[in-house]
Amino acid sequence: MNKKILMIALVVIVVSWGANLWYYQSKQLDEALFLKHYYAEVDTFEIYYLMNKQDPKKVQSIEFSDGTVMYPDYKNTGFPQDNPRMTFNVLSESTHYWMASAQFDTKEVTRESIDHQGEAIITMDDGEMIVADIGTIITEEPPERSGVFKQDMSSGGSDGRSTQSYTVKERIKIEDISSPFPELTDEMLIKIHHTASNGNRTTKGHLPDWYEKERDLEWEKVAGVNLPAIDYPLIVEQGDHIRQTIQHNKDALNAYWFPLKVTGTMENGKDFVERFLVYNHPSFTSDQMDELVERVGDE
Amino acid sequence: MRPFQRIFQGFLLVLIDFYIGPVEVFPDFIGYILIAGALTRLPLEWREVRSARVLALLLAVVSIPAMFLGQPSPATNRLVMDLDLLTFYHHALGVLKLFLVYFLFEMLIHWASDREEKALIKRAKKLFSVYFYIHFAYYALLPFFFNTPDTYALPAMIVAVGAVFVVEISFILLLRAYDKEHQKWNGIQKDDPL
Repeated sequence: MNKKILMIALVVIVVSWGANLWYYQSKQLDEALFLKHYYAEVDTFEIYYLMNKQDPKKVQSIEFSDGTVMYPDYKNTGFPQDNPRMTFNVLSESTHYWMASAQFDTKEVTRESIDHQGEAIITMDDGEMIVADIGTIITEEPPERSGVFKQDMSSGGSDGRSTQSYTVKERIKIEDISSPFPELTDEMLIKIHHTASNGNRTTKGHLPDWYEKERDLEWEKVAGVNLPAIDYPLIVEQGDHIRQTIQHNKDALNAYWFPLKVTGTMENGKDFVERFLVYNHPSFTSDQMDELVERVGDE
Repeated sequence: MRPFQRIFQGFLLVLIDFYIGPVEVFPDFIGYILIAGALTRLPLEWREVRSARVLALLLAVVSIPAMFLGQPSPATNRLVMDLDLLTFYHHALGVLKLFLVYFLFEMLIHWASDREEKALIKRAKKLFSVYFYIHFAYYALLPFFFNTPDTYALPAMIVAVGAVFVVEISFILLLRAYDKEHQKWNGIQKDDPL
């Protein structure tokens, strides 16, 4: 071991520290980065955001575009001395970032509804104020259910596919199935499948036969008609089954919870409105977090 | 006074990190003072002894704040290694210590060469290389933990710290061997200045 090697090693150590710190610094967010949300007919909801792991912050309040100010409900999270992942309600993490959520409950504010569109003013717990487009949040009261559908099962998986199945209680004529966020539903694949009353055999407490068969099938082979291609009106007899299968877009870096509105007429001629729920719980991988940061940087 | 025993004791103090709250019970600066004191008993005309003494005194001074600052990460439970001044400070002390050990190794090899202790020279030279290559790798790879997912960084950190610990123990065992040899030489050659 001579002095030359010692000096070379010292240079290598200095370069390694310098390069890594430069790269680390280049990955840091200037401010927390908020996802776009598509919420309709919700009374509780979560606002998702990405922040530097080294400098985590909580949302203290949000001022929505209609002037409503709301404070998140952190009562289910831990004390600061506990695991910080719990304190900040961290849902997923990458090397540099944490993705966390702040929960809001509209029942806790005096105003009856929020009608938010676009930019909100978010105050973090250190006093920092961030103006960010957090999407659309509408907390209008859902219409009264007509009760023509009885839900049989609901499932969702990490593969981005979810299924809900219903039994129809009386003969109905479905005239339209529409989304409050067509730009979002265009990004996902939705199929509606109608089967006669004997086509959905289930054993009590077990999943239907078709569920196991279809679970791993390619989208093209999944039973049903793609939502935009449905030929209305759709006549559904009493006891028939309707099932909605969704292939969520895994590249969609947003959060949503909204109903597909099913409208039509009942046997007695009265109109009905029913809802098929569409939702996700974002939990991003490291690559998705990096992509989100890149996308926002490009905007 | 047995200088190698004193250096051994000094490094043992530096190696032991035991904290009560943020306070280190066996502070490193006492270890460096012991080492600096012991080096006055070795031939000061040797350049490496003088350099090591200066570094030991420097380390004794700059490591005083470490006594009260507590350990760096992973106490925050967020990252394998935190990016803060405390972390930089601890690693800067580590690199400075590496220079001290470099001159001590040179001194050890010089001392054994003067006495033609071939086995001891061989052992010291071998450990000299292993000790430094492991420390170089450790300090060069350390900042990569800032940019590596915790799932990989944590096991890598455990392996790295384990390897560093093993060579540190080997080094203080070598000092122990030198102390025994020194006592033996003192018994044989009464006129030896050491």
